[in-house]
Amino acid sequence: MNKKPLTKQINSLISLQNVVLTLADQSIFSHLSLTFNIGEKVALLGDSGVGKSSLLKLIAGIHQPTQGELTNKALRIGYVFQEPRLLPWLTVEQNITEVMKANGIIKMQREIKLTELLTQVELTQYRHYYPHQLSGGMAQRVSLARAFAIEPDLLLLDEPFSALDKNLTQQLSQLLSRFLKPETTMIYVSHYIEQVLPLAQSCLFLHNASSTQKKKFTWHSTANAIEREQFLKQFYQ
Amino acid sequence: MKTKQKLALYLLSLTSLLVLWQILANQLNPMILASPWQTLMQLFELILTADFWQQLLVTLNRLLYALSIACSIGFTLGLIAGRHAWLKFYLAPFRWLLMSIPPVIIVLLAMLWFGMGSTMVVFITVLLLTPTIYINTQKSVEQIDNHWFELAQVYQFSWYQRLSKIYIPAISGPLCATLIIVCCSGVRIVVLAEVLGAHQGIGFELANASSNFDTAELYAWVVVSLSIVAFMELILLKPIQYYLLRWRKLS
Ligand SMILES: Nc1ncnc2c1ncn2[C@@H]1O[C@H](COP(=O)(O)OP(=O)(O)O)[C@@H](O)[C@H]1O
Ligand SMILES: [Mg+2]
Repeated sequence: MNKKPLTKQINSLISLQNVVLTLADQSIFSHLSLTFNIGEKVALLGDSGVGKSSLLKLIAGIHQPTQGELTNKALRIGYVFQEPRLLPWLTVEQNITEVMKANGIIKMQREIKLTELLTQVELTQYRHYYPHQLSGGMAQRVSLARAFAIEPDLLLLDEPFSALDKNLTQQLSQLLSRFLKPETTMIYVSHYIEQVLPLAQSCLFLHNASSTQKKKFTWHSTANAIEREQFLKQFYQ
Repeated sequence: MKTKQKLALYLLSLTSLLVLWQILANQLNPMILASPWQTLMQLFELILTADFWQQLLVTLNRLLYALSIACSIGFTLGLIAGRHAWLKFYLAPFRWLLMSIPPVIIVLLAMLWFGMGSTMVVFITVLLLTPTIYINTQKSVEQIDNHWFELAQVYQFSWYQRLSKIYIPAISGPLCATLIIVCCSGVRIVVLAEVLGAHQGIGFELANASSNFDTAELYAWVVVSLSIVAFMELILLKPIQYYLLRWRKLS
């Protein structure tokens, strides 16, 4: 079922083979096999508590598989957490710069990139502010800028806008689609399918975390309204 | 609070202390308690002698050594043990032993092993201070939200970035409190150890003044040791604290 044509294997960025994940004696995944290709944009959906965040953490290397094999060829990973997760003792500018330093971006490039990103997220005049001086939307914009500052080959988003209202979510989704490059692989976790579909080429629907069951629906962003409706019907079955 | 208000409060409490001292001195025999004025005059006399500065330097030197060693050991071990439970459990009996053994036993043993002098003083001070630094660091590191380590891992922070951008700022509150406690007790322990077993230093001079019944000089040396604590708090610890916690000031 998970055997893919060879051509796809070559393009794969992340592959999980029979991965078992057990956290604190609780089985989260048993024998999960998945592949994500370079440049693929995937929406990761599923009920709360099913293991979406755990899957992202596994891919990011925060969790180690208890069994099985996980390969991730991404050199730079951008991660947008559910909350902004900015270091409270660093300014907006320092939060972004530290991450660039850690990823080996030289000083001259750092400065250019920082100026560019702050302009794009409209926070130029807030560069010396500390996180607690920002609103929720502003902080999440910084978090987004930080993820893109390192020009990631893999972008992981874990319900990034769930704490924000509708307007802000829309505004940030637009920013996200503007930043996103074709060659970047993206895995986007969201509760709201409508939020991710404009950005994703396929959906991964995770359910019943402790079993091997999972479904992968494919949906193309070029699909027309009828196809989309059919897909959604299938999805909500 | 504004700086002016703080300063006014400091002055007020210092004045009340002096007044209290004066009142007590009036009541008691001058052999027991010298008056503030006598003490001050004695202090002036002392300051003018070369010997005073030499004794002060000896004590400060011991204090510096002891604090540096205790802080490096306690902080490093606490940092590691805060993240790795095996070290915490391994060190638990040592910490328990050092924290429950009566200090006087440590003093007696140290005098037996090292004789009188600087080695003994520094040894005792390090032994008594290290567990405090260790336990405070270890407990505070344990409390650091795992979120930050996830962040550091995903974004591939170097060990230096982890130390300077996560560990130290995250524990800066308890760290500052620990530094204050440790510096103050450091002075007290060094002076005590010198009283008991040294031929030099403030403690030695205190013991001397006491056995010569030179009450004014005794109190002058007490004021000197108090001044060291005050000096360390104002010149050393306040700037560190200000630097580490400056981000909280802006709201
Ligand atoms: N560090 C952990 N230790 C133990 N159990 C965990 C840990 N993290 C998550 N879990 C459990 O794993 C399951 C999946 O959690 P999570 O991945 O956060 O789900 P989702 O993001 O889909 O809501 C939950 O039952 C949760 O209780
Ligand atoms: Mg989650």
